[in-house]
Amino acid sequence: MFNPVDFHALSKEILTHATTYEEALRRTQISRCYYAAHLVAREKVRRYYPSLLMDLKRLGDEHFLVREKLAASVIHWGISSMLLGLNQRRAKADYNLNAVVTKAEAEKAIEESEAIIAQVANIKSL
Amino acid sequence: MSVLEMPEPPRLGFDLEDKFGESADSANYSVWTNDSRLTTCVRLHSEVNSRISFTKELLDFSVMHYFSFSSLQKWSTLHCELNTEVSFPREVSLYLTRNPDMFHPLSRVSQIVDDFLGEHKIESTHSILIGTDVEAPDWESLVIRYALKNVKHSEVLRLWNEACEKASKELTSETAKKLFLLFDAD
Repeated sequence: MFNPVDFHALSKEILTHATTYEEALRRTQISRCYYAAHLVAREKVRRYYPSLLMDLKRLGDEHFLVREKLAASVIHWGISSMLLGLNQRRAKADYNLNAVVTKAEAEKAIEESEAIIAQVANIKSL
Repeated sequence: MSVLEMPEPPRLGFDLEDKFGESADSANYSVWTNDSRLTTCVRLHSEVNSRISFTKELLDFSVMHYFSFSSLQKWSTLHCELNTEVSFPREVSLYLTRNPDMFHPLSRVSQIVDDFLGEHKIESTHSILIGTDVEAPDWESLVIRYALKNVKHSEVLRLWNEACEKASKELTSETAKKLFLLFDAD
């Protein structure tokens, strides 16, 4: 099974790469950082609620379902908020062509993704 | 201006009832909204409306725990109007009209985070907006977004966690799903 943490590791690794496509690289980093965090959180939620994410009418609904399930525990509300923050960075990086995505934003996304992954790993109950 | 009767008394109502239940005969609550302003209205009906101390006590309690009064009038019943004194974007006002249970958590979380950042002497600005998700067009939530000045992002993350831990104590399973707290370095 693919380990979504590798998306985060890849984002960190390519941070140092020089390329002609700098902004495309930054946008890719942010997007992969979000998916690393989201997928790690999703798998944690799935472990406790195996049927929650089955047979979704829209696959995209899993994003808010994961956030809501974490938030509903109240104790993990902070993780859920951070996931939404990273989700919003990712929406800008993937969809907003008029915005400028800076290196600082990519670095923030890497830190946020790392923090979310670490906190999700520490979840003992949901 | 429209009036939306609350489906059930908000937390404010419970708090006031606990504090003043013996003094007031009955109470009712409503939320008023006109585009960008939202006002919680509390009317306490009391036989003892001439008691100045009751009025003053209610005023002190409400100002201390909630917001400032825009007006305090005494009629044959006591009419107290609490005003948020916050201008929301229109969509936030509409969301609160649809979800009146979120009014109290929103104000409490904002207050807790403001106090928390104040204690740490951190300058910040904040805005209240509607969070959306490109993957789920029907999903929406309240978002309080803080921009912290002169703070490294690693420190922002630490403060974010701590603020969430404090503020989450004001939330229930249901309200936590409809309100999110975002921090970012300015």
